[in-house]
Amino acid sequence: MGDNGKPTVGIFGFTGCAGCQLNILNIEDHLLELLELVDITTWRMAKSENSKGPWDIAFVEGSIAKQEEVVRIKAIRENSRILVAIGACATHGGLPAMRNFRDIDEMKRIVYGEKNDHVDVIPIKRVADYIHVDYELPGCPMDKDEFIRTVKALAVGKTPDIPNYSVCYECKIRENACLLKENKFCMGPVTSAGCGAICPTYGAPCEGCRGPVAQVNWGAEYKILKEMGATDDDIKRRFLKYCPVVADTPEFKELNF
Amino acid sequence: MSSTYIMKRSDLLKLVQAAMDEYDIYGPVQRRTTWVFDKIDDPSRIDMDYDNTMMSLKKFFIPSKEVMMRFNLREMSIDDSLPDVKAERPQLLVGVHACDIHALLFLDRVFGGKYVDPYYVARRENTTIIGLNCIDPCKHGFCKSVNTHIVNEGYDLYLTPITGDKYYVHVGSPKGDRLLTIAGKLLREATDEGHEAFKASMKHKHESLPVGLHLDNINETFDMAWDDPIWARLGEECMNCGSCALVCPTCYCYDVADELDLSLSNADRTRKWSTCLYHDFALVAGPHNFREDPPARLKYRFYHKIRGALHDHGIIACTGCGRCIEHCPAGISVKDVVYELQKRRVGVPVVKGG
Ligand code: SF4
Ligand code: SF4
Ligand code: SF4
Repeated sequence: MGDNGKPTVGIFGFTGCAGCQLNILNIEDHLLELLELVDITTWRMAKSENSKGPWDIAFVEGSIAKQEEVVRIKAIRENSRILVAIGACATHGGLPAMRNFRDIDEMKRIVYGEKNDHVDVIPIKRVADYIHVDYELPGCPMDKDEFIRTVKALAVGKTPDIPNYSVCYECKIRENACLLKENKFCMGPVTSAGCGAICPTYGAPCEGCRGPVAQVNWGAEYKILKEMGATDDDIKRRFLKYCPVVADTPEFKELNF
Repeated sequence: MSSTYIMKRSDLLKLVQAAMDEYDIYGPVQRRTTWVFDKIDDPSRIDMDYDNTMMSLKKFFIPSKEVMMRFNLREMSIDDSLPDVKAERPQLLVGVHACDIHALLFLDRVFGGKYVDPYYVARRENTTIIGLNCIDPCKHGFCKSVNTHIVNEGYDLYLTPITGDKYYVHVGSPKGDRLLTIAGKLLREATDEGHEAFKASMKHKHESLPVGLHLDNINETFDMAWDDPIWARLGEECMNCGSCALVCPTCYCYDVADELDLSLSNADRTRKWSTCLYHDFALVAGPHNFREDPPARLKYRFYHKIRGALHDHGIIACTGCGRCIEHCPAGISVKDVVYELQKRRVGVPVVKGG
């Protein structure tokens, strides 16, 4: 708790596009109310004076891509009571982790040239691969309403309510005609809800940015897409786009691409 | 006084227009590959030739998300939303198929039986229904197999298409009488000619609707099938997306949650739909989960629809509307599952189809 009795909050960015932090700034309408509830003591994107901790709640954006970041994330964990990973990069590796599918030395050469020994890069991982994460707010970007709900819940000591059912729930509630019936490769059935099925609502198939739903059945979705004419490459790209770390799970390996 | 009338098909739009001052009107409207019961401001949007809507009528009685009460934690006061529900404008649902009327009669047993849900009952009382007798089969339905193709109650007006682009109109209740008054000269009493046309339509209906299932000994079948390999096979195909239960006209399960506002002084108690297909549905303190395995949850849905509903309400909870078949991304069909179990377990003779 801060001097004013409010829980202290730190917001941190790692490797990613910073869009999730930006989304917190986008809360605009409710940002002042939010500041009545918690004390944001550290947030480099928005403040010039920042505390060095400890924090009651840390929100961490981005994937872990450098040795320096491994050290930093461990320090934040040690100084935080509750740690929440926000956005696809932090929760599932996100777009940056696609780099893992290429040879790391080759990538270093392409980006930094031949003299690249000083460049600190390691295979990209999600936050939970290095430290204990209390809650994850997935999505690219993270949903700001879900962020507000989570702050409220944590401020009063409740477990945040983060959906672990599929996007189809929200899609059906909005009475969208199913895109799979139009032969569009929708990832809705295997993706966690929480975005309000925004993509299918506008006629675009879900790309899976919120990551696999609890107890995901990859095999069934694979079969559906295959029957619709998708190639193994199409399917693999869809399954791994926002969640490259999924490639290492036993459920995924069973697919034998 | 007669309770059967004749109306020109095209005059339905005039009736809807005339009823607009008195009701909020909802009717079937096409949306991409399906239809929805949508709010009607322009009667010409109503498509009475619709195959089936994706979402059933349950959304008008148990909305997918609804605030049941608000409480103020500083004043310790409660504001129940029931008076607001009771004050809602009357709603008129146009073009409701027989199977969906049966679904409402089933929900009446659930929400208006031993434990009364006053929100449901208030909306039900506030609703007038113009039913539509399907005389041709829809794409995925199997109403005749489960005996929901005929209704004798649950509607206020019931329209049967007859020759000459007309409807044979049956008045089913005092609310239907009110619509008669609104319709005025649009309806005229049915004569022998009208009755004959109705009989011809019903003959056509009975001939055109297939029967592909028998429910004989269905209780025993399900009692025997608990360990049937079919559940593991379906478990491999099912993604537990919940679509089947969400579109089902009789799946009524919901979740209740309290949500604080940012001042932490007010909270809403909200109920929203949930389904037994989801992991957290049977999760209790501990944590323990009665149905941790996804295939167990699919199996549970089948058992609750058929065996559980028979046990609790003396009637199966499947109306044969075919929505779950049409909207399951994995192509799982309740009709095929029951067919297979019936054939294997009790050898009831069936003809595949319908
Ligand atoms: S469009 Fe996608 S998200 Fe929507 S119901 Fe179909 S599969 Fe599910
Ligand atoms: S529909 Fe899918 S891709 Fe779109 S925001 Fe939701 S989870 Fe992400
Ligand atoms: S709609 Fe199909 S895939 Fe989805 S939960 Fe129901 S049976 Fe399973």
